[in-house]
Amino acid sequence: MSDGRFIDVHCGWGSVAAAPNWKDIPEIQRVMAKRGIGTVCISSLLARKYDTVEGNRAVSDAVKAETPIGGVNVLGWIALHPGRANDLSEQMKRSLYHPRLVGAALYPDPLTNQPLSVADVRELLNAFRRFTKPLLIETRDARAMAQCIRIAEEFANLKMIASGMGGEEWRESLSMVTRHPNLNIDISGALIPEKINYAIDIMHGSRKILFASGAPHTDPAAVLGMLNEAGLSTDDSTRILYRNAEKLLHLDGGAPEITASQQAFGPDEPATPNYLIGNVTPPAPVPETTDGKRKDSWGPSAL
Amino acid sequence: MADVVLDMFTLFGPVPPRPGEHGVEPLLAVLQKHGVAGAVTLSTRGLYYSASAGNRETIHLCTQAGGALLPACVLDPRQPQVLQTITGAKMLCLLPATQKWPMLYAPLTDMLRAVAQSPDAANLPLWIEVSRPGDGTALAAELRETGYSGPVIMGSVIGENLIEAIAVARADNRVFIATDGLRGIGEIAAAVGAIGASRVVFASGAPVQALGAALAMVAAAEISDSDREAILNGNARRLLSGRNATA
Repeated sequence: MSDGRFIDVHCGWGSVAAAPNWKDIPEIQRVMAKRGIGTVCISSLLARKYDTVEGNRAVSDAVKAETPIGGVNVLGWIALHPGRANDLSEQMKRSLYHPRLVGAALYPDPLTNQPLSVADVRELLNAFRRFTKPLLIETRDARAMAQCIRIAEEFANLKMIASGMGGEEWRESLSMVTRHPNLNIDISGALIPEKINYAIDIMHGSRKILFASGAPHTDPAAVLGMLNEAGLSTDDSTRILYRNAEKLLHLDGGAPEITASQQAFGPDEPATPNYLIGNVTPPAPVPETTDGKRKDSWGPSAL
Repeated sequence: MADVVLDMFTLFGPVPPRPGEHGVEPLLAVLQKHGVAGAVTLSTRGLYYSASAGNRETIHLCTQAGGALLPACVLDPRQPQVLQTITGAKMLCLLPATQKWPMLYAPLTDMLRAVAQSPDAANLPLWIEVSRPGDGTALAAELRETGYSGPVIMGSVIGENLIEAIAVARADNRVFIATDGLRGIGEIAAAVGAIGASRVVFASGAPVQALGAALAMVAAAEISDSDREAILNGNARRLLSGRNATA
């Protein structure tokens, strides 16, 4: 099923107690390859928790220098925080035209653990939207999802990913996302298979649902095991595991539209279309199903 | 993977306030789907409503389930009369975070003293949920205080509390760590490396939590096949048989 095509749209990058080598890109590639994942999008744990600018600089340098090992492509998110708005505006200019940096990400405030509000990030997002790349917002609970929804409403032209599905409050969180066409969700967070079917039902299909693990805090093997247990059709599974992310992150050969303001703003590095990077290949046709419920196995037996 | 997998912690019944099927059929179905031979289980009624009523339901339905399910009884220190309903249990469970009572708690001390003196309960494995920071440390103090001498399984240990759980287990060789909360890269291997595979047991929290995810974590752990076998089967078998329960 995998062929190394699964796309994990949101992971961390940096050492943690049980995975001290998670700061090494080859280690991330080794672990992801073992789980059938061909593309992983990382953001710096240093940027999320302590020094946004330094962490972003490190992740930017790392993904630009990365070469696929084991067929695993590593792409990056730039973390944003209003406390470093001026520095980040400059950093976005330097980084976000590069095709290996897929977009920007918002995390709860590292000191208060409170989700950032639209008022907190309005200025930053006005600077960010010219890059026409997606915005990822970590939504660990329903309160964070509520803030994410307000941002999605105000920045309706920005493609967004709510990452974490509201954690254990997935049901309340999912009930908020249905009326926002620019909002996608990923399936990281609680390891409850019921939430996947609930999300497909409440979002009228799987077109806006993405695979993410949140590694190293959650092993992608666990999220794949949960997805397997949800018993989805092949069409829904392939959409979630890679087809939706290919489109959203322009990994399918479709380049993002460059606006007049973006051209005026100008990249400072030559951009390469994402489909020319590493092992990213155009998508294969999705196998037809006869009953719409054919199930594949990418669970424990596939590891 | 082990030929025969035993799951040390599962549930049956609805989780409030959502509707759900009463009875063990959804649990049996998910166990069968994943080829899990047996599971220790308890009724959510005992967890969320009445420990006594839930324990009676657990023992009754496990008896009817033909050997695949082994009954675990809930000990709720807020309901001391519950000790009268644990006859037939294969494991006792304390779930302070789910039931929202503190780990350092005088009624818990009293209850553990009573369990330690009970001929029905004194050597049963004791499952204790230690998902909150500090709960593992408080558990160690309670065990010293009460003289409880049976094997103890720390369940729902999450990654950020793993260091604490390992410290507690290192200091007391009858303390085990369950895998149900360990979901991060390298966490199961870290537990095995710190206290040995003989004191790590497989548990899932199914069917509320994904059994497939829990199995995938053990399959993906970078440990030897013999360690994996011990985690998935051998240690649970040893604990549940009451023979050489402590490692």
